[in-house]
Amino acid sequence: MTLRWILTRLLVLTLPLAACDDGGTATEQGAERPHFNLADLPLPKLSDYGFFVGRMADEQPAAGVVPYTVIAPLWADHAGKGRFILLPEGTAADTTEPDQWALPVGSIVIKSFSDSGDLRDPEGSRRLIETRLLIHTANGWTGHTYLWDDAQTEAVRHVPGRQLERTFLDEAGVEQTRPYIVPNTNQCKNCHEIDDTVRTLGLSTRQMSAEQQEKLMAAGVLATAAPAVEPLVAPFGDGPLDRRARSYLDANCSHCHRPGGGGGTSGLTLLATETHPAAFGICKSPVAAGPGAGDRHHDINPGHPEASIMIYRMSSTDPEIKMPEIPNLLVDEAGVALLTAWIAGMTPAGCDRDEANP
Amino acid sequence: MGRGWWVLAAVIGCAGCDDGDDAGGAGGAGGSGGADASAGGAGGAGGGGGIVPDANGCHYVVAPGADVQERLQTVLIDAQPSQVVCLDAGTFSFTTELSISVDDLTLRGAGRDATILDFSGQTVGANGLAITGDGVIIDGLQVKDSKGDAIRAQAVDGVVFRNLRVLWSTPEASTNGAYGLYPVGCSQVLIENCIVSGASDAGIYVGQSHQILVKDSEAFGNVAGIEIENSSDAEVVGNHAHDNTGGILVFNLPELPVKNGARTLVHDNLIENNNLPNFGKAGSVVSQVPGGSGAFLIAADNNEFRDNIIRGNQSAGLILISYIPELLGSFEDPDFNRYAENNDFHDNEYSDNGTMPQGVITDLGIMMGPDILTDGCWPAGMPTGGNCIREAAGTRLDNLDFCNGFANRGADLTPFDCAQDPLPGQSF
Repeated sequence: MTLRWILTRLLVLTLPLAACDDGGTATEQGAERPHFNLADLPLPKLSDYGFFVGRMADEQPAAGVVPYTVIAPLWADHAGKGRFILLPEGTAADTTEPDQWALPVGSIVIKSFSDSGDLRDPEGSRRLIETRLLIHTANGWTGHTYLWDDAQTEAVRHVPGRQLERTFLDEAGVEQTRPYIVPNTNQCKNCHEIDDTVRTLGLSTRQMSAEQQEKLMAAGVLATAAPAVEPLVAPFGDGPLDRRARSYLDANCSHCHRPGGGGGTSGLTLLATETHPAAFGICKSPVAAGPGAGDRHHDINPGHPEASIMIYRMSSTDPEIKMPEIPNLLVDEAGVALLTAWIAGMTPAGCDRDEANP
Repeated sequence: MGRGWWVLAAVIGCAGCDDGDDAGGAGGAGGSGGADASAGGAGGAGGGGGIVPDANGCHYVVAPGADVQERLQTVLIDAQPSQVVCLDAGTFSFTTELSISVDDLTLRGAGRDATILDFSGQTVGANGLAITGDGVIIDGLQVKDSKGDAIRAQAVDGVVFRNLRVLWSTPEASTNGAYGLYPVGCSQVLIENCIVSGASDAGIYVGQSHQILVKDSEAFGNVAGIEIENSSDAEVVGNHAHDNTGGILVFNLPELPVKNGARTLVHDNLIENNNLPNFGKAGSVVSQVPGGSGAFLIAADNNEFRDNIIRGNQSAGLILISYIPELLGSFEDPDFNRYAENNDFHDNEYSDNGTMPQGVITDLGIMMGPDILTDGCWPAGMPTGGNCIREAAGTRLDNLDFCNGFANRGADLTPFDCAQDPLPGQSF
């Protein structure tokens, strides 16, 4: 046993502690909490944070990095998602406000976007596109994104946004491409800024099932279960159609379409908690939709999805017409079908209308 | 093991930590220069804080050319509040909306026909420029052929649009973007010396805002030239609204968070030849405006129109109506006041209006349009809705008495001989 042997073993055990800032808790090698100075954030590379152990693209969380899922996910052009929360050690989320859990300064919420390189083996060919962070700094939440390299070894911080063409093999093994938008740092706020304040979106009680909350309690993210509110339902599950449609709209649209959100001035409020039918679009006339109205006269015309602006805009890929405005390039066909069925089934049918449109 | 082992370990080096990086991270607050090679090309970029402006007062200068989307957007994100981003002369081509969220940022070009932001290749984003920072100033540039609205300011306190041109290259195309200048939900909005043409809804639009000044600007070739909607305490002065479908519009619409706007002063404008057939997409209120409308008020209260020249508008010089659901769309909004009340029209010059009415005006059987057309719908107990008209003798009125089935339709101006308190101008 040489001195060199002894020293290399000591290096492995002790150096991660000695060179890092907070003297973080090492339980065993590979299960250490991420270590960084909040004041240095954002860091240039995703690996700088130490969120994951082993091969970073496998997204095996380090200690303190807690995975979670939401009931109603956001449509993102077929992208798969990985979601994780990292709270400062010894802290928990405050669930008093059901619409937005309060996380302490120093918290980081992580969301990765992935797609498949070969649709004949979607899981086996999964590759990460970008990993977005929301960091709770002393001055509020800030959003950043990291673009993965093709080799899947590293993701580098990218500020100005980018339009990607993702190449993949389809179910027949034929090479195809599809577009994907990486937002610029300002565009995080298009969805995440409400009432002039940047905030998280999916960390709300209605998005967290009872089972998910138990997992978060076991991981120390929650001290107790959140006070009960009516949860969203999985939009493509087997709950009631009305509830599924309202859950879809809440998850995909209500960050803008609510008072104080980017679409707040439209008067259309798509929170699942909105009970006034005209406010969530029933027979509501558009304000400033411009060509987005598509010759239709009401956001939702009960019984008539073909006369409903909501369906028109969600089915479009024209930048001026489409809804949502920015975050996707592809139509969510399943979402459109869900809302079409919902509107088609509404009674009584029709809206009062002028002589120009029967 | 004693403490010495830990010291020895630290001295030997860091094999278990970030490869190749100095401990503590290299990013730095606000800095992006080190992270992305494509951010280069913008003079002085990278961190913002310590930059000294050049002789022209510019903290950053951006030239057109390759990668300008990423270069300029990076600068707009990196800039610190109150800094000035200057654009060289030339054409800048964008495929994605540009966003500005830094407060008090100035984006300045070399002139409205010298620095051209060309969005004709746009594939992403509903606007050309999207502004969410307070106090932003856009000065001396052109926004051309955006897919949607050219410049939107959303819920900001303070915004200035000055010396700008906004245009769409194809006249009267319903596929043109809806709005040229589009501040919505804002306060302290200043629009001056701007020229806007081609919008399929409104060229210069201000919505759900208060404290507004639109001055010395020109709007032509739009469906609505200048539109003040659900807004309060505005002054529209010294503008030339010509060859639009409707020249200057002041509307209150229902089912919006900010409603019942009031106190817009429209004065010393030239409102002429607004005879463009309506090319807006059906489904919007503005698509119901008949071509040939000089000025148009819907459900608006406590406004003052004075000292304007209103001429050559072939349907009517000025149209004053309540919100008519049969025409404009049904609504459910108990807080909305659908009547136009307490407006004051005086000392305007009318000539050559109504010579060839269009659209719904002809549907009403009107062969010769008046200088002033009103539906005559007033709340019970308010004989003229408090609206006052004191114009020169010979000014032609048509009061339709629409809500009484045209029963007392007439041209008598005497009931309107009253005055409201004059409105102040706006300065801020």
